[in-house]
Amino acid sequence: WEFLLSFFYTVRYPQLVLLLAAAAVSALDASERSSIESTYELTKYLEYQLKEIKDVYLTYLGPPFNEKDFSPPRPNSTALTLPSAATRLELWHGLENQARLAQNQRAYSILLAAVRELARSTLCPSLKTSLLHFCTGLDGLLGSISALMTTLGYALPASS
Amino acid sequence: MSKCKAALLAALQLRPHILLKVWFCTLTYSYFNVSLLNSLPVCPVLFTVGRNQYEKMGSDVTMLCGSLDNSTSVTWKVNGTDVRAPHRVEGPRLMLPKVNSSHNGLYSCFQNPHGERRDSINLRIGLPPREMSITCRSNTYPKGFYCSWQEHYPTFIPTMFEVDVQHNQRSLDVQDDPVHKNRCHVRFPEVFSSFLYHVNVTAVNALGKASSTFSFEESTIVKPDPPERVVATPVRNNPRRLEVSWNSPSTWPDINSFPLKYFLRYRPLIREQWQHVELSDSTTHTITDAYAGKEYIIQVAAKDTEIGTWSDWSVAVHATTWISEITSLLKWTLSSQTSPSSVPSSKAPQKAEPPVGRAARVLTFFSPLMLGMLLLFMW
Repeated sequence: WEFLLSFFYTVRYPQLVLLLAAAAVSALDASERSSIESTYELTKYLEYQLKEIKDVYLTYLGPPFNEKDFSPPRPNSTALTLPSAATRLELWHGLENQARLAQNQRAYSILLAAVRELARSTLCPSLKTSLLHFCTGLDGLLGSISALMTTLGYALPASS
Repeated sequence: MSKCKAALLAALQLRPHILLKVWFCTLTYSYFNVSLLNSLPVCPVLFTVGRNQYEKMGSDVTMLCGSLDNSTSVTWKVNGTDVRAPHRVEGPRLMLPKVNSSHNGLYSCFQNPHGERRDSINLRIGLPPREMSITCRSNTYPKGFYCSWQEHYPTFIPTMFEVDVQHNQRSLDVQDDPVHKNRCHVRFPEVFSSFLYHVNVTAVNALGKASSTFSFEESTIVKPDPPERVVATPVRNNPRRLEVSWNSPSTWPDINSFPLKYFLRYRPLIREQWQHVELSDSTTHTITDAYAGKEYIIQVAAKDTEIGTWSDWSVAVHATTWISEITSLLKWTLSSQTSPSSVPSSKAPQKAEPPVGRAARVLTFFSPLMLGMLLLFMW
């Protein structure tokens, strides 16, 4: 459980968000721009949803997770190969859009798998529903990213 | 001969072995040298300095005269005068019970019976450090952040601070702030990190040490500086509008990759209540619901579009909405009725007649008409 919980904190939106903001400026046509913007809005909505679910989930787990100052152990970066948004600034600046999108695709796929597993093993029905609803949103996001990559002519990463 | 030099030489004749403390950015101790004094650009501050002895407030203090044995008899003086506070002398020792800040001073001991000075002790009464509160902020995201700490209780004696910042089990490089004593700067080792930053500040002085810690996540401490160069101008022929423009804070390093959004607030000078407008990353805005001819106060704040908190409000700018010349004249003539010596702000015909008489005549003739016109132009 600690692993899955930590994952909530590890995955971030900034890469995708900023990519979209930057891409929106230089996008070629209106439909591309609009799909980038709607994907961006989706990530913001999912982040909000995730925060809400996190609070409900921690309450569901009970102590010590539901305590006010609970801070999950951050995954030891050598122990687990979780994707992390953390990067050196100059590396991030130098990333190509294709690489950015591919990284995000991979990260959200892993998150989707983790949340599906959480939903499967959650006994509380309302929480299960919330988690599955979140998975639907995440799935939609993955679809948006794939569509964007195809439109921009990038090869889609092989699904793991 | 400068006054400094004269005073120094006079003092030297009395006490040839004094230590001279010269004030520059760094402190240096050296024995007096006349030629050195001639070349000094500033007057050296002259005072005799002994070794420091720091003691805790409320404690009982013992001062020992040099390394004299217990049978030696000494006389003690503080700042050149007799010790007036309650005290006890036992051989080479001076005992002061329950000290407080009034005991601060330079204590000198002189061996009896010839009165050779054997020691000088600069007694400083203080307290050991206690807990501090620490805050951190990044106004230069994603470059770096700074942390400030505040002591809740004064120590009264020199206290230094050691700062340690940990992130992902690594110690980060910490730079002192050149201006602020209780502040230090750190560069972000990476961005978008979910690992917490742990700041530990240890205050150390001669009487003890105390540590305080503060932990935070990268995104929570981001707070830009306020927007700069806010300018508000009225719009000609549009009395309900004010055009406002500003610049992003110059300390924000990468406005393209990390855009800011803005918040604008404005109110007429005479009103208490603000109106607010939240804006995206545009650095201009036109207020369209201002009252004509009124002076407004306008301020702008900034925030990263994704994370962190709003900046403080910018410096307030004042602007008055446009008002037509006719309306302005009407207002002037109306106000002249109540205060005859008032001067119109816009162009008005200057005549030789006394303003009171003239205004009164105009007013009597046109007053209902003017009020009507005034209302028309205001709205």
